[in-house]
Amino acid sequence: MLENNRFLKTIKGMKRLGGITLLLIAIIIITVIIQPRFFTAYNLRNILRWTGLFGILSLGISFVLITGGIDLSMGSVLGMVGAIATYLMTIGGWPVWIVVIFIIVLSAFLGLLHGLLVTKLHMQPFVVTLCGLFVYRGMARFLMDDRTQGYGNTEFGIKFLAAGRIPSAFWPAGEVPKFFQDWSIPMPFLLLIGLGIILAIVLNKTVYGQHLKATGRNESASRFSGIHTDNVIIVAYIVCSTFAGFGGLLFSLDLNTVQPSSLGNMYEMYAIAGCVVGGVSLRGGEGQILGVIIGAAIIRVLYNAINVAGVSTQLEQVVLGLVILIGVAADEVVRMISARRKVRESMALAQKALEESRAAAANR
Amino acid sequence: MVEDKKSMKMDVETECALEQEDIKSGKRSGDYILEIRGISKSFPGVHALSNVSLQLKRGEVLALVGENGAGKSTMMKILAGVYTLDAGDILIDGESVIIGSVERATNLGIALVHQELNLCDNLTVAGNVFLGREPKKGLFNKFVDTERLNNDTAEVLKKVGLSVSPSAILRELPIGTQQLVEISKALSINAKIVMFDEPTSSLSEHETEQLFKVIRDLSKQGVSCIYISHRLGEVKEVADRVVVLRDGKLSGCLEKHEINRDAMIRLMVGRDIEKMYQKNHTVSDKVRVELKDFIVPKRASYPIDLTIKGGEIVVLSGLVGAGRTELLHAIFGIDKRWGGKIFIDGSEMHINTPAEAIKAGMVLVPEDRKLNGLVVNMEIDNNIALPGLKDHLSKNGFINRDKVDELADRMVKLLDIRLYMTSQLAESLSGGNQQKVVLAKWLSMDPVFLLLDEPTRGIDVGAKAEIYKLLEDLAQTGVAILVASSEMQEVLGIADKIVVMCEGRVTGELDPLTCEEEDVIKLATESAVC
Amino acid sequence: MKSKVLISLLVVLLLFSFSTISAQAQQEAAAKKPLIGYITNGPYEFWTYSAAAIPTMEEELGVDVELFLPPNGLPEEQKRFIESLVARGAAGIGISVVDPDNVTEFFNEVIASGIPMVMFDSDAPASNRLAYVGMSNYAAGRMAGELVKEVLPDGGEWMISVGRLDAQNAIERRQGMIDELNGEPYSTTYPGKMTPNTPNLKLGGGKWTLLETRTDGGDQSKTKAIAEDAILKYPEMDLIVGMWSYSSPAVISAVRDAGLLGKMKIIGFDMETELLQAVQDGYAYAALGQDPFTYAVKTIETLAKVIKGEDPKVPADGLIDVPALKITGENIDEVWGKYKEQLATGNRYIEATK
Repeated sequence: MLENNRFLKTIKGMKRLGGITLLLIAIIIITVIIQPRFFTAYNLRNILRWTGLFGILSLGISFVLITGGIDLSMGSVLGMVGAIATYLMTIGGWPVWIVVIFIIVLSAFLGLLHGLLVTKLHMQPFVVTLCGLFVYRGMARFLMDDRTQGYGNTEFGIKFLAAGRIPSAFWPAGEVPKFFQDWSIPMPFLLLIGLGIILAIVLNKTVYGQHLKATGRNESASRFSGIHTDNVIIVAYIVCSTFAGFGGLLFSLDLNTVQPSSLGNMYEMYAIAGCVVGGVSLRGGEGQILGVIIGAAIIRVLYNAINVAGVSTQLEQVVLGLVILIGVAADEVVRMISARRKVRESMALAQKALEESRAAAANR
Repeated sequence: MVEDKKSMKMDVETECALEQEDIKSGKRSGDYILEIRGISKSFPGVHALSNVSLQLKRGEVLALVGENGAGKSTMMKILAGVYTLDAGDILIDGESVIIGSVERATNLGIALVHQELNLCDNLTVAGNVFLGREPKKGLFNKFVDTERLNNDTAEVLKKVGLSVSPSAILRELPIGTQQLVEISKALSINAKIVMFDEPTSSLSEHETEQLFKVIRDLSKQGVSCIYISHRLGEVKEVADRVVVLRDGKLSGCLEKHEINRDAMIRLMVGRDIEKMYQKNHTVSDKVRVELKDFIVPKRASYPIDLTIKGGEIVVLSGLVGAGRTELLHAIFGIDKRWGGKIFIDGSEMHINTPAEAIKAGMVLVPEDRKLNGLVVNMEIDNNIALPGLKDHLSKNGFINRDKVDELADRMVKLLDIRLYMTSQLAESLSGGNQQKVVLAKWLSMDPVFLLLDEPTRGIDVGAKAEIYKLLEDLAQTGVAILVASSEMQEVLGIADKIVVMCEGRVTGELDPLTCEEEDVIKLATESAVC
Repeated sequence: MKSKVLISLLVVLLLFSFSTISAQAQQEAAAKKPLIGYITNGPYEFWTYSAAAIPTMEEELGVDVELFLPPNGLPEEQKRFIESLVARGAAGIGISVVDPDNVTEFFNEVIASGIPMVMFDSDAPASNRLAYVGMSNYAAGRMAGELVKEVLPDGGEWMISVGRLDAQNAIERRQGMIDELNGEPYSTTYPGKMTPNTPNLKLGGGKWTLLETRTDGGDQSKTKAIAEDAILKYPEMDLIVGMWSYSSPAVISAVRDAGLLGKMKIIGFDMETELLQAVQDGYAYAALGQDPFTYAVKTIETLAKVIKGEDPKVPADGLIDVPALKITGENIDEVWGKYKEQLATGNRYIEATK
């Protein structure tokens, strides 16, 4: 009875992801029927790249959502850090690796600030990060004087992070075979998978992950259990902002230019949408990394599907909103059904126990 | 002696059976405002009620007692229209009715006073009493007729003998008064039957007295009351008749003259709990824990000095708001203390956070299980592992799942927690078993100083006895134990030393072997007397 | 300890914001010269050229010019700026109008209160403005249409990528291209019609097909995704026109990733560095350069003259023409050189303000 514990839990977790995986497959099938060219290497490559770029943001914010908080400043942090990174590498002439370290430290610092304000001053996460949304956007425009920052034609090795593909980029010698030219995986997606694996390990295998989930479900009880809940929450905000900053670097490298006034506008909403579709609860305490990645993929596939299937631009947001709504509603329905089944099962068990005790009593 | 009790129980059962015979034959039904005939209700996995019959006379106070899960709450919720029944009949004034909805219950004159206050404390008294039924006036009939609202409310408040202004904001009133407002709300629908679900759990002794007076007044006015409580002393004081439920079945009835504690317990558990409190541990001479000039935050601060010896159970007694919970929280580092020192085994401990307290060998079983004790929607095993995760159950930050499983299984066995599997959610357990999970969580830390805040609140007699036994065993191993408790029986039953608090300071220490309940109450109300 | 760090941090933040505000207040106190507001239609790099012209104009004409860049390019932001300028007693306002149809009345009120207004880049023809500096976007569209004819002489399929289609300049530019390809008689002013945005518009008797006009709402990464999806969806497509300043860099990025640089033709409006670079490298066929530097010069000049009571010498139709420029591989070096020079002045200007 107790041996199967872990196995049962894994199965339970998988079942929850089943619904959104089905949704993803359904969107893909419908799109392929409307536009068979959806299934070309070129298109899938693009989808994987976008999923990587936006998925990293969803991963970042997932920790904050698990604490029951929210980070609205993500898009602005992304825009500001992206612009700063581009500026420093081109006009500033800083060495690339120093720039990378600098922006990681900078964005982590912003996360620390959010975390401190939320935990030590007991401000609401919504308020803190809403202010961040305005401040960082304004700072980005002020620092860059509203001028678009671009890498131009200058070659930076770091562009590989956004534009590179594996294994074609590392082909030892000679012409890359056609197959690998077509089907090499874009770096942003590999980064997403890599970071996803790290976060999944942190969330499921480490003490921090367990503390994070406990804090998100019941902060008070966690504090009574000797967990430094403040630190747990601060770390979540640091992760979120750092991912946003790293995302800013990737977006700037991918687009090759950064408009300080617009890059990242609304991206926090896409990030949250990805998490929500992927089964992260805004009430806190709940979420799986794989779900977040699938959720982010659904949104990117959907955007692509809308474009390639020729849905009019005006209807785009309607479709997106409705699909997210349906996805989350379907998830709730699946949960209700499985909860009912659980009830039926325990009912049967209790019945059995009752009969056993009766039988025992009769024997006596 | 034992023979005697058995025969008495037989009598009770026969009498109830006789009454049921009467009902079936249709006799006497005019005397009853409410009759319940053979109702049953099942939930997944449980027969919450099976074939229960009872009657309520006009103006009678009927107490409904039983262990947790005996079916009291189900019965109430059926009458209040929250649940529908599977089988059986309900008669009001001799007429068969189907309740079915809360609205219908209200129309039939059945009101329920909830265990937890179901009030909006940001509204006025009147706003609460008539919430959802505000008298309207003016344009499109959309404006509140404040004058009528306040007048009507004053009328109702008079019935419960409450002399507050209807326009007072609720949160500015004492809890006991708020409870009376809740009762006024129930009465404002012209209720013929008022049901009280554990109404005194947050009331002080004095407020409880006031509540009883109201109940007696109601009864004189011809309103019938059903009173549910775990506190058998109260039941004895207020009830005209007692109906005991056990495992969803009628276990027995006691008329006014038969009501006494032992009889009720016997019917509740189906066995004697003669030795609920067994004291056979030895208190060592060595002081394990010492508080010096300890100042509890957020109160008028008097320094507190307290010593607890190895194997000693010290019980903190006092009224609600005496500062016991605050003291425990301050010791455990949840709220920063304003001054003073803590010594464990002679060395000073620097404790400013719960984590430091745990490192020093302290653990706290908090009062509010669902808010502070457990992460209720997390699995049982993860709950048990939570405090020790970082230091004992992991390596380099990675959780050792095998150790967690092993610990959970061990604790479940040790405390006899009844569950299906350790990965089920803590919220799926009964109150008593949840409390055992909280204890399991803390005992896994091998504490030297155990703090408990109302450890047996809201759990049934059987589980209580098990918890007392556990404390006994722990004391025997030399652990210092500090318990805050409001239940007088418990205070006198388990303590080696009673420390009484009143308004944030210690008003005295008593020896349970030589003191009486009155001594404790006198000390607990000392400053109020001054 | 932690709280100390936090408090000192907050104090630093507070001091920082105070010092910024007080510095600005000091600047304002020093200003005694007539104030001219120069309001653009958004925070685009394009306007750096205008900013570059401002210090020279301030010096020569003895006026103060304040540059406003509406953060989101919205009409209400422009309105807010105008209101604050009126409140501060500005002597004149130059503006690139985002939403001409709905603000004319408001402009007329401002003008009636004695503050002359000059429109640049995007006009509000129905208002009582003093003058319009620039070229009509419609004419620029006609010019772009000519470029399409040049690059696709035998006809072909093409698409337009733009931020929003409810912006006046987008409507006029698109209409200009459509009319040019349809061979409508030439005119410099917008005829006021709009061909609906239906897919597969056949133009010039079916010679050219405008596959789609796609909008991205101002999100550059979406521009890129749209270009990618179009490349997938229309393998026969020959040309993408980026109609807003940020459109073409994103389109170029998508085309580069698809390995189609040089094969897929690109025409862009405005002169983002990225686009000029692509023209120079031969990846983009042409850029339609406007002259924001001259916009600023003419606008401020006209306003300053009116303020001083001189005759601004505005033509009878109120149009001060600043023609657009076709930038192709042939003249890129010369034109870009000029732009770089202007920008260098702009950089000096920006450094001076810091």
